[in-house]
Amino acid sequence: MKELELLKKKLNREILARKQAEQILEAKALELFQANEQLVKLNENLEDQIRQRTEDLLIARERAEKAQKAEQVFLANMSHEIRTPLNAIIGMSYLLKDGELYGRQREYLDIVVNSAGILKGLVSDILDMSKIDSGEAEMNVSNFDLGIFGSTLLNAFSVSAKENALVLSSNIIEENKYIVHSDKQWLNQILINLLSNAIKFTSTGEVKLTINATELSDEFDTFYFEVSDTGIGMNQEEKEKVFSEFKQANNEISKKYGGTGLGLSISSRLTALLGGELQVESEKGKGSKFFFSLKLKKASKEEFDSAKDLKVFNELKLKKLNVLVVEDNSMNQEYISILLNKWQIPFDIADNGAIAVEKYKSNEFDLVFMDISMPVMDGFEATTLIRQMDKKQVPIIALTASNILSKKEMALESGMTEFLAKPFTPEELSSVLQKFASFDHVEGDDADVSFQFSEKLDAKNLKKLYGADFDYAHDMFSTYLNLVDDELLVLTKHAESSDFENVRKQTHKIKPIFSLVGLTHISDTCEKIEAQIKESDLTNINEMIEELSSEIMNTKPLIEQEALTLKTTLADKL
Amino acid sequence: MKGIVFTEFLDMVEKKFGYEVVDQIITESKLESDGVYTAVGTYPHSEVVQLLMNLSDAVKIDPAALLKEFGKYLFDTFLAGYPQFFSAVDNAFAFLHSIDKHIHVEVLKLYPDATLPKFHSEETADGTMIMTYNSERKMAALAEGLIEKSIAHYNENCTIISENLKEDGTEVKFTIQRIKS
Repeated sequence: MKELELLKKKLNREILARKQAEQILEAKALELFQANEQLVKLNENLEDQIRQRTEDLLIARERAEKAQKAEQVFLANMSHEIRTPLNAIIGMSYLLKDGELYGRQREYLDIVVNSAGILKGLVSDILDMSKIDSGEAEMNVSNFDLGIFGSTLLNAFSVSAKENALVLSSNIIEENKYIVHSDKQWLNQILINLLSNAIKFTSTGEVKLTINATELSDEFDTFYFEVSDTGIGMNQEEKEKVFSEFKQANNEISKKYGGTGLGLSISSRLTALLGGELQVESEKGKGSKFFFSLKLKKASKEEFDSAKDLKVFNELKLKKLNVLVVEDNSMNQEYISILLNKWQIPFDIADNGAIAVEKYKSNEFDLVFMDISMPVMDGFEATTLIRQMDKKQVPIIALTASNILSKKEMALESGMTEFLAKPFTPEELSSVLQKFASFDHVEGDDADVSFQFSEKLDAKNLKKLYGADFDYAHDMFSTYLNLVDDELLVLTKHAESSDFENVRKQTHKIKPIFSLVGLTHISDTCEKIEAQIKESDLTNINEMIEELSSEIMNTKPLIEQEALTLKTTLADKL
Repeated sequence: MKGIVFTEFLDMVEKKFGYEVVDQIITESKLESDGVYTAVGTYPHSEVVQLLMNLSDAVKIDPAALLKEFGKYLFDTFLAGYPQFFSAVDNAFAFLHSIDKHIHVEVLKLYPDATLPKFHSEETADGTMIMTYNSERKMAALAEGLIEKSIAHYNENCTIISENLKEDGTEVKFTIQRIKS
């Protein structure tokens, strides 16, 4: 019976233990449920917060994008408004330079041009900051002579220095020695900024520009640039802030000296983009020194020289095109008209896009210059419409006063072929014309059969080149006669000293001029000489040069005769 | 103290000495719980001390020896209930090290009110482990039983020497040495 008692006891204890366990289980289940509820609530809360934040962020972003867009539009418009009259100033100055000027007039005009350039630079400050900071600044490299660059810069500031009773001194590398490959405009901008600051902040004493070559190698040369002055100088605090935007050294400065406060900031960034670091040393009351070093790629002197000469010959080669100029601003119209008239290029003018489309419908044009912002219909729309009816893909050149990347993209999308930024120089306009000039443009029924080129010359080619434009032909023949003696002298000198490399370069240079006067066979001889020297084949080279030389001399009378005949034909026509 | 200690203890007593002894020690002890224990419950530590003492009287075995025996018994319960702790490592010393660093941490997550002993383990350069036991409950003998069986589980041979760092048994040092075979 004890066993039964024992078992009963055990069972009771087990039952009670089970009941305890059940209670504990219940309690835990409730705990779990409550914890879960809290979690769900917390989650919903978090999701709400996220939704709200995302909405807020979207609104903020939209606002920021709108503001940025508005700023870009404003900048583009401002840029256009300001550059348009500047275009007129610069353009007209160039035209004046081309005319007959007496003595000091040319000097004064140079200063007007330079000042207009400086003004344009100041205006561009604001646009540039925005471009650099948004990463849209594009480097435009070209070959230029650093020595000439330096002395031109110095000249630009000579008047300003004189007006402020300051001495403008310099230590600049010599000209015709260092040809570099870099962004000339940026370097110009930096040094102009430094020089104008120096003059601005110096009441008496000296401003000095230094450009030295510090390290030379095969591919790169390193140059040290410095602008120093004996001006008001800066203390430590001012020096630290000097490159930050919108902060001129202190409020006093801004009131007394004016300026946007952006110049040094832009210069500092441009210097960095060119691979250098703009630094300053200064002592309050004594003066300041701004300096930086740049490692610049060398350009070969030959490339540089031949580019210069090519310009001369290319101007002679301009061919006739029928051009449509679409531009609403009357000054710009006049500027282009004068140039096109001078180059004897027939053209028509349309005041806006709508008129342009109408004119295009009823006329044949070989080239169109299209301004972008115009009333009634703008350049993009006009281009799109012209492209729709245009079977021969006429080149349409956008004339743009604003350099904003997005406008360029829009231009390309609407079908424009290329850009010409206003204000442009006559050289820039002429090179665009040459690019699209078709040498196959036949003169048509204007051919005057009363004049024939001499059969002793390549008459067929001459007719093709000049058609019935005897004035033009006469110009070319005269120019040839003016040039040929000197060029031949250079050639013979090189040949005499057996400097065949330079012989090759010279023959290459003068080769084109012979075909212009129908002496195609002489061009061919030049070609042969050039090719042989290139392959280091000097057999008979001296004889060939002799032959070339004598042929040129022998044909001179023929050319003179031809030029005379052309002149009299012209006189008859008049 | 967690209920599982009580339920397993009484299980062991029943298996080794019969339910009559279980009933006896429950009746002899003054237990608030009346000897009714569920593994998921929590009960005063003093009750297990009473039960242990009364057991020692009843079966005439030294309480420390009984505790150590209980430790070895408890090991099997732990192995069956929480195999993941044992398979996490592959040797005895690593396991012993994981008790304080890992196992007790996990236990506290589920049962924040659990009262567990504190262990500090250190391995010396010559391959000896020094493990220090620290607890107000003074059940180092239980720990020793568990340690012994753990080492055997990994098929290793070690000698275990225990030494009271404090007279009252709240701090004990175990020196565990691998036997070079």
